[in-house]
Amino acid sequence: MHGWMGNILRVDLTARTCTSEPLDPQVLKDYIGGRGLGVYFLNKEGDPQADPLSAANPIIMATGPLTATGAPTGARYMVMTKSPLTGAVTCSNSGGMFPAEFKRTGFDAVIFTGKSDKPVYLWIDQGKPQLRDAGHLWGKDTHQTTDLLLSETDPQARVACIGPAGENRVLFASIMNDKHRAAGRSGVGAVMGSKNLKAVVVKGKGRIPLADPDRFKTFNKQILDTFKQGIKQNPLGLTVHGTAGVVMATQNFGVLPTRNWQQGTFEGWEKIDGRELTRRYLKKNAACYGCPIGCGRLTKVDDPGFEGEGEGPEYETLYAMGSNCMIDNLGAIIKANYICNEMGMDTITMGATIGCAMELVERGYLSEDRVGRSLQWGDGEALVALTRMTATREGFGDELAQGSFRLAESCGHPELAPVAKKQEFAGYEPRGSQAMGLAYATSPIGGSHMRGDPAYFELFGVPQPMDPHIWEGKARVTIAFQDLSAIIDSAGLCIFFAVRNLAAKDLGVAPTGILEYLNAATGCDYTLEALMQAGERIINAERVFLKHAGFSRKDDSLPERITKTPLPDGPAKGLVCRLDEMLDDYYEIRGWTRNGIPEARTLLRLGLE
Amino acid sequence: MEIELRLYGGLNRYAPEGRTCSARKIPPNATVEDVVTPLGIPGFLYVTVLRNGRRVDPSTRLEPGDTLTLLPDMDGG
Repeated sequence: MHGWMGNILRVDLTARTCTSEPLDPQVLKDYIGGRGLGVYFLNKEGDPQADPLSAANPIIMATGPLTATGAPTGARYMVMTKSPLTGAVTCSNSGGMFPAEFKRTGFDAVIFTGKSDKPVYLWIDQGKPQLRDAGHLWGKDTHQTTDLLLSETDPQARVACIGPAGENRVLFASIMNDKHRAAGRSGVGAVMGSKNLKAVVVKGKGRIPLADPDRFKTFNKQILDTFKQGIKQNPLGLTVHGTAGVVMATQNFGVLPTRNWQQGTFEGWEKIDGRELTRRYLKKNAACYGCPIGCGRLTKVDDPGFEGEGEGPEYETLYAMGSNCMIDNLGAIIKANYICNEMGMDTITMGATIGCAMELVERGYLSEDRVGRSLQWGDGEALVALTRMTATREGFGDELAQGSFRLAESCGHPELAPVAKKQEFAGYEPRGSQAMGLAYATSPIGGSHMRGDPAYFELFGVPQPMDPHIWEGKARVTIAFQDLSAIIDSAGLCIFFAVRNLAAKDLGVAPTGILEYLNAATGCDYTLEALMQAGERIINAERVFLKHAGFSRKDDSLPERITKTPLPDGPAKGLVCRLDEMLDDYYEIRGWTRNGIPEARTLLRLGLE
Repeated sequence: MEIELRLYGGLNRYAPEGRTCSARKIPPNATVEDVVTPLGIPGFLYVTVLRNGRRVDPSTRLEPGDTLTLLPDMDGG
């Protein structure tokens, strides 16, 4: 087999057994790998009705056929499970160095089932898996855990682990790899914690076998030469300021979520944007395996009370912990980001939940007595203190650990939670970027921009601009981007490179470049149509899981603040998100019923019956 | 008439008198390109031009009090 390793590792945590099993080549071709392979196994072996934190919920880590091949940004892996935050399927992905090393152990994926009766970690040493005791690691943060594991296994190994937040089943706990990279969203870390699985440590060997190395190398050179030529003329914003550069864009388009989604512009935006981050805190860029962009930010903070060193923040953190909480103290935001990385938590849900709590306090729905401290807009010290308390579930942190929806619901005002399917939105206001609203509502994992990122065509103008205020015509383009993202996530690539460099330059975004890489790597002879259909198949397979978990149109929803209350400020002033109109179009194009359920003929066409 | 001109990111170097944000006096009936062209931004640079926060065609007429914003290439999120 080429591109793929052809094996999945099964780890039964209850029985403490590790077994290798060959993967069906047809399944690999139909589902590509990564996210596709994950949902294939989740549908086959998971229980959509299961309690996400029970032994009945499997958790799958899967790389793609381009992971570790040398294809640019071929650094990704996906974590698939049923989310404790949303109750839906989730696919949380990460880069860094761990995924490539994992694949080089000889496995495309690992599926964990059951639950260990005491803390363990999985150590895969060049293809030989074993479960080891992790009692001495329980309670340690992700940095301490990583250092200890490297010292007791192999200094050249790579580590993915949970911190105290995952152990404490914070509903948005992440899995951190290489210390700073996160499979951040939807509480995948809490699922690991519920299984008493502290970490996965991998050491691989050799190279990934490619079907046609010459063809692969020639195409790779062509793609990289074109990319390098392009950035000579247009220095990539991502390289210069990281994703933090996006603050400038969202502010000027009027879609920078502010004051718990009550405004689209933030007066203090220039204090938290990419230029300020670069000027005051950046030490150097960081890149994942095989990445020519290097959007990671290694930073250091010396501001009194917020001292620290680590990686971040990303744009999403700056919105969630910054403008959304009216905090313009960049040092405080970075410190809270470091705490999330060390304790293993999603910065988006953390910040958005604190922003929601600030509004609940302001409106008198939540008392500061219950919070145990003052909690006013713009308070950077509160952000840092509450972030730390959330990871340990200390005091009010125990309530924050449930995310914004459950907190707001407990205060009698669930409508104030900025969520879709109970997961907090990414940093783009849907009233001023209509397709983003549709993407949040229809994303299988709830509020997320990464399952088909409309910011590309609505804000960045890639591959072509579409007016972000208009809802007409957005369903078709959003679907094209969602299907493309399913292919990118399954192949093991990063969306930041693939959308611009490996897809057609029109709004159909056919995955032309990914097709050439996949065929050279796997020898599968995908046609463009077959590859695009694989993307559609993966989206529909996720939707089948959702259907069996009880989800339908009622869950493809946004809060009334977004769909009924006009945005009060900025260029999108006066607009609401026209979700219902877009949803009708969306379901029709998808071949789903008006209730959002895939029709039988759609499933039959995709081989999902 | 007067408008506000804003240039962000690497486009700063093309800002009049090096100022990111500045009030500009322009002739009546001036268009977006009448203001942008004299800045001398090389054609190969990708620039998003917003008039009052919305993308516009270069031939769009400006109105007194408009804000014209020029953003460099952006990505990510």
